[in-house]
Order: sequence, then structure tokens, then C-alpha cells
Amino acid sequence: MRRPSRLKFLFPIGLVIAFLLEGSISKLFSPVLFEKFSMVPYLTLMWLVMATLFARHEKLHIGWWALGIGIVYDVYYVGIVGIFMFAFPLVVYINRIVFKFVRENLVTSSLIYMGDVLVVFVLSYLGDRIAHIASLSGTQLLIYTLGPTLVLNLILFVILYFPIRALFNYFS
Amino acid sequence: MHKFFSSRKLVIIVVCLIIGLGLISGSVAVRKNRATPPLIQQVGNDVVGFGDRIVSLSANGVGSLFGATGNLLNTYQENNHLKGQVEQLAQTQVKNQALENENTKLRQQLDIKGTPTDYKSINASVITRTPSSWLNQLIINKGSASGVQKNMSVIVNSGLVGRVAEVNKTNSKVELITDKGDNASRFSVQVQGQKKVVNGLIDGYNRDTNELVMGSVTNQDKIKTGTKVMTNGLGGVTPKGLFVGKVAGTKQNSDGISEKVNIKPAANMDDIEAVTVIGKKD
Repeated sequence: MRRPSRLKFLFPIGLVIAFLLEGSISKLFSPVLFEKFSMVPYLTLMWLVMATLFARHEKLHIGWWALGIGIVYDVYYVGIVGIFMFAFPLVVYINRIVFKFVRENLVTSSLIYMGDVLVVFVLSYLGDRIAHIASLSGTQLLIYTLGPTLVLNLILFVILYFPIRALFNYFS
Repeated sequence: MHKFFSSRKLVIIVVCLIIGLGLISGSVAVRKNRATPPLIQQVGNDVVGFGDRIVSLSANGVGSLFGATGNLLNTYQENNHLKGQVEQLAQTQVKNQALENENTKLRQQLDIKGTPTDYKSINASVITRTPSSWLNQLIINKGSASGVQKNMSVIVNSGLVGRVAEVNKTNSKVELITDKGDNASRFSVQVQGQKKVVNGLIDGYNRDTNELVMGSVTNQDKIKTGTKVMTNGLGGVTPKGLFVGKVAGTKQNSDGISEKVNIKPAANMDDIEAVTVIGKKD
């Protein structure tokens, strides 16, 4: 048995910070982020995905944390429960399966992260559509929202990939 | 991979779907019908909101640093412009006061209480924003403890921005009028036509032109571009006389009967720091 690493603390703290920063950044940069091209920085998702990548061999209960932060996300940000609480654990689960078959490096990770963002995007849109709180549709959604969101998240992921990997390595 | 859709997993997926849909419809029902969300949700919101204040405070600090530098650069121009306005303002203020006095006296004589222009206001600052493209929602730092109620109107100093959608003890969610959701906008507004007052409902938002659309127009009249649009205080808790924006143009509907009025909102929806929550006085 290995001594439990300090990741046990780093991961939840980082998760909470990422969660809160997601809203703050959305607010702070809303003139840029939600103008004609609308893009969402999925920081919480990114932290979860990074943890599935860099802490694969630790017992961190990432799935349960994903469920928990998903519920909080739903309650606090959206006000409709039942969307992110399933989307986040699903993404963690998908990543676990995929990385059994794929070698992990920057290219594969960012490609799979794109897929994760797409999954969360589609699920949250469908959920909000069912709840009648989604105000977009058609070209507005695909061209002015989905495209920019994917690009923004890809850029953020590539920029933060090495720093966060170093962070995880340092704490494990 | 061949075991990916084993029967056990299929059952789990179906169960999750059912639970998810159930939770969604449940919370939609609560959001629509009840004044406040269930207690556990409220407590959760209050706890998270408390933690969020620390993060948002520091984030906003950094943001305002950049903002301050920008402001400093155009202070001179702004100053000149404002000087002109202040002189006018003093005049208007005096006149306003005189009118207000006269108004109260007349009301006392007529024994009228609580006209639709009376309102109470609560100042709040914005903690955070929902990270979503299709849900324009702000979270503000005042809740039922400060007297915020569901469906109260929310304004910034330049005009109407939205409506309170969910109230917790110490924070609330505000839906902006730029949302097309079922219960988001739907403000009852009026505009002065050439001969009579035209009433209508805000029932949409055009993202390309950044214009609100006013439909369900009550009577036909020529409406000049640039006319001011305000709430008319009919129904709900929205008081009369909240400034919405200026008319940008009118358009005949395809049925040829009704008319749509495009409104340029006065408030900048993308850059909201502090708001005032407004409710009718009871």
C-alpha cells in the first residue's frame, strides 16, 4: 500500500477553485465572451479531465467528486437540477474507458477533451431545452456558440496542459 | 469495447435518464410556481455563494484594475461631457422636486395610495454569472433576508436589465431580458405614439442587432424612432416608469395586422457590476 498522496487535497481544492473561477471569469469577461461569438470556459470540466489524465493511478474518487460538483453546478449556476450532475460523471467515465485504449499525450488528450466539451455542451443544451430556459437555436447555436466554445476550450486546454501536469506531478 | 452496452450498463443509463428528466421537470416546476426553491437547495446556494464572494471579490479587484486604467485615459473627455449634463441635471432636479411635492399634495387630497409608480428598491452587487451561452443569468448578493422577492424587476442606472428568477436567503438569480426563455422577459411596456399610448409585451431579443422586440401591441399608431420605452406597471410586481430603451424601428408582421417594435435597450447587458432590485410598494 502506498502512502496517500497530497493529491487527495489538491484535487478537491482545485475543483472548487475552478468551479468558482468559471463563474467569475464568465462575469468579468462577459463583454468578450458573450458578444456576437458566445463561448463558455468550461474550467470545472477541464480540471476533472486533467485529473482523469494525470492522476489515473490514484484513488481519488473522481467520479463521485464529478457528481457532487455537478449537483452544486446545477443548483448554484443554473437553478435546474439534473443536467451537469450526470454530464460530469459521464465525461469522467468516458475518459476512463478511452484511455484504456489510447496512449495519453497532448494531441490525444486535447482531441478527447474536445469530445468531452461536446458531450457536456450537447447534454446541457438538451437539458436547458427541456427546461425551456435555452434561448438559442439553429445557426446561432452551431456557428456562433458551439464553434467558438470548442476553440476557446481547446486553446485553454493546450495552454494549461503542461502547467497542470507539472502541478499534479509535484503533488503526487 | 464489445461489453460497453451490456445489459447492466443499459439499465444504469436508462435509470440515470429517468432520474435526470424527473429532476429537471421537478426543478422547473419549483422555479415556475414557488417563491423560493426547496430549503436544501437554498442552503446549498447560500453556502456556495458565501465562498464565491471571496473568489469574485479578488477576481473583480483584478478586473477593476484594468477598468480603472481605461477610465483614466478617457477621463478628460468624459469630464467635459458630464459638465454640460450636470448643469441641465440641476434644473431637472429642482423641477422634479417641485413636481413631486405637487404630486404628493394632490394625492393626499384625492386620497390615493400606492399608485403604480411607487416602488421600493434594494441595491445589490453581482457576484457571478452563469457560465452558459443560452442562459443569461446573474447571481446577486442580496436575497430574501434583504427583502428580495421573486419576479421583482432588476435595473442598472441606465435602464431595465431583467427579473429575479430565484430567491435564496442571501443571494438570488437574475434572468436578463435578453433571454428568450419562457418566463424570462415578458415585460409589459408602453411607448408614446403620435396620438395615444401604445402598450405591448417584450417578447424577444435579436442577438444580431442587439435589439429587444416588443409584440402584442395594443393599438396602431405611428411611433417615432428614438421614442423612450418604459414599463407600464400593468400586472405583476413591476412598477410603472422603469426605463427600458429607445425605439429603433417598427416592423409590420407578416400577417399584416400586428406590429413589432424594435427597442434598443438602454442598459449594456454585457457589463453589469451593480444592480438595483425594484418591487412595487405594497
